[in-house]
Amino acid sequence: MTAKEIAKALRMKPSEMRVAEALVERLLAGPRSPRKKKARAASASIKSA
Amino acid sequence: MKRVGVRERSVFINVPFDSEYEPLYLAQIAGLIGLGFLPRCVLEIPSAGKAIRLDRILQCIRACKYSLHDLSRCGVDPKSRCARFNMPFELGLAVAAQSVDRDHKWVLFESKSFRLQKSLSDLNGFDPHIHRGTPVGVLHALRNAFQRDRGRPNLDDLRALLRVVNGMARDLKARSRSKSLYDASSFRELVRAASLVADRRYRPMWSRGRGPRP
Repeated sequence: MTAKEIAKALRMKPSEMRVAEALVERLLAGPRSPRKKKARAASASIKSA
Repeated sequence: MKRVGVRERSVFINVPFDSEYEPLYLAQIAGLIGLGFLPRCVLEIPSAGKAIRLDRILQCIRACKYSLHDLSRCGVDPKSRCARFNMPFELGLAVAAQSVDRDHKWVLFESKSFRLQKSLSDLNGFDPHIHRGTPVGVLHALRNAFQRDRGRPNLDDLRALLRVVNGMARDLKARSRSKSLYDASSFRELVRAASLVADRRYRPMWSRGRGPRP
């Protein structure tokens, strides 16, 4: 089932939809701590080299 | 192509709601979403109104073609010193629902082999899926129970989605300043978030036959 079908089936409130969206946005934005950001950038540069 | 209805892809999950079980609960959500199913749960039902609550549990079970019953924790709760009857009781409701809706299918999960034969001998002849009390074991059991072909998503794909769901669950707890994920909103938010991630990040890769991003 797609995310759209799931939201419809669960009869989600708009506030719950916003929380779920925020969780996903934060996840896709990547790590927030400078140390983790640095580690990810370093790993990306190794892969591209 | 035949369009499959919501009921055909819905799975009622009947599991213990305690903090020790939480990693397995998250594995059930991630695994079912990854396999293209919609997890449904008694948490969605408001607790007000005793008689109505039973009706609504039955209604929720009947709204799902499948129900999944984990009987691994039916023992005595060390805190309250009471046996936990909710899981076997809801299994009984599912068996009754099957006598009305012939196409309802119930699936048993256990953590130890052969224990169910002693704890619930009425079910002798029905083999539970054994998850050994681990999240990966749950994903493996879900694939065995619900995946019709042996293609994608494989166990590694589901593990990747589970890692993401675990991260989102931590985030959700921090946001709501709650120690528990066992409430209606958290359940719906996690299911929705997991399905969004599966759609946006993983399903396109699975359909192309590539592995998930590490």
